[in-house]
Amino acid sequence: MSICGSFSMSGVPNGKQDAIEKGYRDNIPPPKDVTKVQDGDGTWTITAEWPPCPDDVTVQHSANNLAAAGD
Amino acid sequence: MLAFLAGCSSLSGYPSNYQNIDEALAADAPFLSAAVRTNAMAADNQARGGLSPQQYRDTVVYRRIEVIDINYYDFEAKLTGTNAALALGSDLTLLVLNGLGATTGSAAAKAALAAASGGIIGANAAIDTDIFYKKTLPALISQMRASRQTALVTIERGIGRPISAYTLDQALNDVNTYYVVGTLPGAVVQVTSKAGAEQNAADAQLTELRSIRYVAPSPGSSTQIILNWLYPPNGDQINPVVRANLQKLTDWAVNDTIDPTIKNTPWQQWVSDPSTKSENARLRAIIRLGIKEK
Repeated sequence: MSICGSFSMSGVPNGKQDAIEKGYRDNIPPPKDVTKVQDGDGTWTITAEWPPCPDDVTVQHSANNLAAAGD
Repeated sequence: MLAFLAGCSSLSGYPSNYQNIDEALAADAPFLSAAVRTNAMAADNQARGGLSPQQYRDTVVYRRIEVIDINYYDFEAKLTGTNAALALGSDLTLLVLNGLGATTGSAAAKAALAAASGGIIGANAAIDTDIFYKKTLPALISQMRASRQTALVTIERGIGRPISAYTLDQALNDVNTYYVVGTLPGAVVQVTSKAGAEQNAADAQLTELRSIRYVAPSPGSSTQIILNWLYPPNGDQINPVVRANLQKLTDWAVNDTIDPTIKNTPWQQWVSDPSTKSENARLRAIIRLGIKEK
């Protein structure tokens, strides 16, 4: 498990939204979905969705890493 | 030296105490009584053996600290002297494992967690004393010593003040804290609360990175340097990504030990985010991956 949940970037200038969307899609691992919404001021909010986070995901990640480091 | 060591039946690591413990404890006994509170408030110095309220406060504090120290070092010596010295009750075992196993962060927690994750509890929930004594206990002793020192500083500051500003009751509360932080459960609480604070900070940073605002990268900035490397020639993400470089950046983020947040976020978030933490992450990536400005 690496990236989980949703991440967004708002205030993206008109004309840049496709590039930012593609940048999100390029991620490793790629998101499940990417949406673009134009806001009232003409800028865009790009939201990328990864699989939902398990409960307390950050703790779990750190615990695993530290356990490995302690080996 | 070797002959000397070979001649010892056992070596605990602690030399014999330089003072007569029994005599010291007997002399301190009057200052352990609950009567010290009423003595401190007596109008006449007679009840305090001729000492002023402030002198009496200081004497009570130092005598109690002496008793705590004597017992603490005896306790520590027994802890480290032999694995059989500590009766590891189920309560303590569970406290250690639940407290440390669920949280991470500080070096002490790391050591303790490593021990816990290494299998302290076996199939029958019995403690693996060898792992406990080699890994977990040193971390807890280190925490006890550090916390005792901190508590002692508080007391030393207090008794440097007049009795009106630092009463005997306040002093006794601080002395009690000095005792509590020198216990194994006290150490577990300290370790877990520190680790919890670090975890909360990481969670808060991740929350901030979930929603960021676009900031146009300035030429020569760390953001622009990374973008140019990923999306040559000008860093525009509409260009084809250099997959090998993105893989390197992703792998680096996963293995970065300084900022545990970035491995859980898409690269855009920390490459674009203007915060100092993200800027530091970018600079580390640029140096570590040898990314050149084009």
